Amino acid sequence: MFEKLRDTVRRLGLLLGLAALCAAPAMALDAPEGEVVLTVTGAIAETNAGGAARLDIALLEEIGSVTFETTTVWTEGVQSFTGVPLVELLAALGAEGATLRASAVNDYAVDIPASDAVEGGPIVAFRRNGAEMSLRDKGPLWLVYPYDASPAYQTEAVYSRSIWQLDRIEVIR
Amino acid sequence: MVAVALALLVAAVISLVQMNREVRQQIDALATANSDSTQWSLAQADVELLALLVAISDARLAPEAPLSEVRNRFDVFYSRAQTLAVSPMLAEVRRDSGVDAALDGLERYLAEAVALVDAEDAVLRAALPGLAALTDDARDDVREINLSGVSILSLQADAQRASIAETLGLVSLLTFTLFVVLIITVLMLLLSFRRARQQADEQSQIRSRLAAMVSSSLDAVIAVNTDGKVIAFNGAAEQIFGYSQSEALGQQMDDLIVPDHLKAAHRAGMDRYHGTGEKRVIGKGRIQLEARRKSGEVFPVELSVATSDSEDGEIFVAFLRDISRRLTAERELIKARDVAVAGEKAKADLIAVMSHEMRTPLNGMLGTLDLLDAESHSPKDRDYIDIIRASGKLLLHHVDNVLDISRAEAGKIDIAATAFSMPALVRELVESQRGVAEHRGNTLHYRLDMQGREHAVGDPTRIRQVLLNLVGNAVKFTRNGSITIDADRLGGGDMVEFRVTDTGIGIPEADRERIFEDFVTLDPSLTRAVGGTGLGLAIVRRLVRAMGGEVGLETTEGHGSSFWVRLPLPCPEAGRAPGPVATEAPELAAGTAPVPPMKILVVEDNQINRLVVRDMLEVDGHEVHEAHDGEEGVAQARRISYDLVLMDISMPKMDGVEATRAIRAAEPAGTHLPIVALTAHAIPSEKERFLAAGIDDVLTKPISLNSVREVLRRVSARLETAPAAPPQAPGASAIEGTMLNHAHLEELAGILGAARVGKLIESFLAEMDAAVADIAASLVSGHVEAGLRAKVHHAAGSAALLGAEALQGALADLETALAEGRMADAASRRSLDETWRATAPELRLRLPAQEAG
Repeated sequence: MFEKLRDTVRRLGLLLGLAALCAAPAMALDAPEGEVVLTVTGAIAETNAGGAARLDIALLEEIGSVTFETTTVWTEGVQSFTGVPLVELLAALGAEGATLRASAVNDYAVDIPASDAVEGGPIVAFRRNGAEMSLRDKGPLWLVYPYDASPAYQTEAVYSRSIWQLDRIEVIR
Repeated sequence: MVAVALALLVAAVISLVQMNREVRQQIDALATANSDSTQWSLAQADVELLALLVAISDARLAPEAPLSEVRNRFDVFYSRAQTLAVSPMLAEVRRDSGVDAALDGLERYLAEAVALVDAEDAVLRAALPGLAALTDDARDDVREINLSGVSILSLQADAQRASIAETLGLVSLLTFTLFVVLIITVLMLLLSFRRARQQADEQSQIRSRLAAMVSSSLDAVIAVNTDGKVIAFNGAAEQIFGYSQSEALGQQMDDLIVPDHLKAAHRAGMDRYHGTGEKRVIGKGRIQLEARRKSGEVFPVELSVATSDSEDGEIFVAFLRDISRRLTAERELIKARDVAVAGEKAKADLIAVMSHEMRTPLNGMLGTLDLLDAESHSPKDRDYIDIIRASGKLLLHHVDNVLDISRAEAGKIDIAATAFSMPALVRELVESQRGVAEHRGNTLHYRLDMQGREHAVGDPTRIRQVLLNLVGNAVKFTRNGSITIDADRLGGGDMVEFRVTDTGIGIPEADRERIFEDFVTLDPSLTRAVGGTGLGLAIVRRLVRAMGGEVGLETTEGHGSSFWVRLPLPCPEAGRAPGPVATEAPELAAGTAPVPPMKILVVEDNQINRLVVRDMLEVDGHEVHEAHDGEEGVAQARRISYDLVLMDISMPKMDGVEATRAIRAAEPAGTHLPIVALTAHAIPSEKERFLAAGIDDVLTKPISLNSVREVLRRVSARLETAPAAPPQAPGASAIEGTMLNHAHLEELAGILGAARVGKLIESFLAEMDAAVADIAASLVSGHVEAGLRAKVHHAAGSAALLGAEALQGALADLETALAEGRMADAASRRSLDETWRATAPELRLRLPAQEAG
């Protein structure tokens, strides 16, 4: 029975995805103009380069940006992070996956459940304390959770998902 | 107990909550995982440094390849190194001096390397071998940090584990304690539960017992809540009021059982109670009220009301008992008693009426015989007359006996206390009975031993009655024997013993007590021979007891009897003359002289009686007028001036008492017409009633010539003299001795006050001076005017008032003379004059001092 339900949902999702493709072929993702900092592959609807979405800081910022302050276990003092909320990013890309496999420049990789992407949840930060982050400074992208906002964001799992030097996300169904 | 358990529980819970918070924090500390994969981080630094070395050596091997890989690897390591330097997770690790030094070394490496990495490609490519050497050197520092970090972190983990273990131990201890406390609490609860159940059992037992009591109560039990609704209604209530329990429950109590006329009072009472708490019925014990049945019948109840507090507030419990049957029984009892009393009264009334009815014809008979007596008859006729008289008197005697008994039963024996002479009484008695005794061949003697104290205070009439009865009996049962009367003052004291001894047939021993009972006659045949009602001795015993004495009998059958009577008859106080003895002389002792003729009105409905009385009065020369009833009598008395009225009491229309009142009411002030009642009513209380109505004297039927004369004498004496004063003999020297009765004057002063008596004397002196002169002048002139006698009479009255006895006597003589139509002689005129002259100065002396001078 659950199988059936899941099938139905999947089919529905597929239909929706197709609908989105058909409805907005002209709204294909813009090509990045600056240095590409994030490449999203896998189950996404919006792409701009052969099944992948290659995004620069400007594109990310275009999707939307929020700023929050929090401490982290890797830095000293309160930090101000600005970035695109993960939930908005996924929405913008029409991501349809259950898991996000995020990988970093330093070859660190971690699986993040898509369910983490909620309003007021993690952001893909591209500015720390108002400045863009260099590779040496855990940049250019760092998936940051609002740790201080909730004890739920102070767990080992959340820390492990807080991937810095992020450059690739694969959306896995 | 429960409180203690609860306190323990609360304490345990509080400490557990505290402990819990601690554990939570510990767990949170674990959960928030500030250590993260710190060790992974440390190890990664080594890996990333090696990756940099690989990139550098790759770049050295391929001189044309871009250097971006080297730069990227360096930046990654740089980032890692920065993290190691600042991450709070490694703060503990950094505190280690070796790590600190290694970090410093690493920082120096980074500073040196950055300069090379950030240089132009050519410079970097040229510096690649040096950078490789520098980086290789830095591996030592990284390894140092790595190793120290691992050991420090593992120590930290150990400490944390120990702390957690300790906390968990504490938690388990607390949990155990809590468990124990819980167990104890549960036990306590169990205990208290058991106790509560026991109490509940007891209570339900009590409740059921109470319910059994209420339901089996013979009284109605009704409980009512504060709203007046019935909340309990037992079986007796169902029976008494006629409502079933289901009908009654929940209804307004006053609608059910309070009668309409009591509803307002009931509501007011309840309001008062709710308002002020004042209780008038509640808790006041048994109260008698009325209640109503379902049928509407109102019946009497006895109720008591109590209040009680219940869960639903105050309730009222009423116990009611239907007392209609009891009240009915009481009413019937009262009715029965009333009927009985009425019966008794009817009997007494019948006897009184019968006495009247029997005495009236007897009066006629005996009175007529007296008239016959006055004329001459043949000796044979006289014998017949004597027999008729004796029979009549015997009949009268029987009637009197019955009356005496009924009077005694009614407690109406009046015992007088007058002084009298004992020898005179006994002598008279013996003389009066001698004839009867001798008639039966008996001799009658008496013996007296008064120890020198011959006078006594008592009721001579009753004593005479007692002795007459005993002597009469003795005579009756003795033939040709002797009868002796003894009177002894025992030991010279107050007790006097009378003894009547005969030589007759005597009385059987067995009957000694019985003979004193009512209607006892010992031998019917004998009784028939001698006659009698059987009441004589019963009356004797009652009279003797009423006088405070006793009566008894000594007898031997066939040898006569000896009745004795002991009475307390004290001697009168020394110095007090037994005056009344003379007036106590029995009527039969001597004939009474007739009084001067009077004009007399006889009011009597009975024709025979009228005839008898008229004849008797006319024998003595009186002028007799007749009236046939009260009304006629009153009218005649108003029209004609009489000297005396003889008034029958029992008459149709207006009776004698009423007629007397009417006459008295119409009488002019200052005058007083003497009225004498004629009656068969012998009861003393009746006599008082007559006197109160204004009757002056009573003549009891049957009437004899002597009794009529006696009453007329008394009345005329009262008219002419002061009641207390002995009549003055005509012609006696009034001047001798004192002119005034000073005792009387003292008494008058005591009543009226000296001042008023003084004034009376003054006006008397003035009035009398004129009156005496006036009367004397009239007498001297020989011209007797019609008003003279009235003047004399009036003057005599005034003199009597002030105790001028001599003067009063002289005036009375004069008046008598005038009344008899005689002209007063010179002697009496002089006597009046002299008496007045002697009296006046004595009177003046009695004037109050200030006016005497």
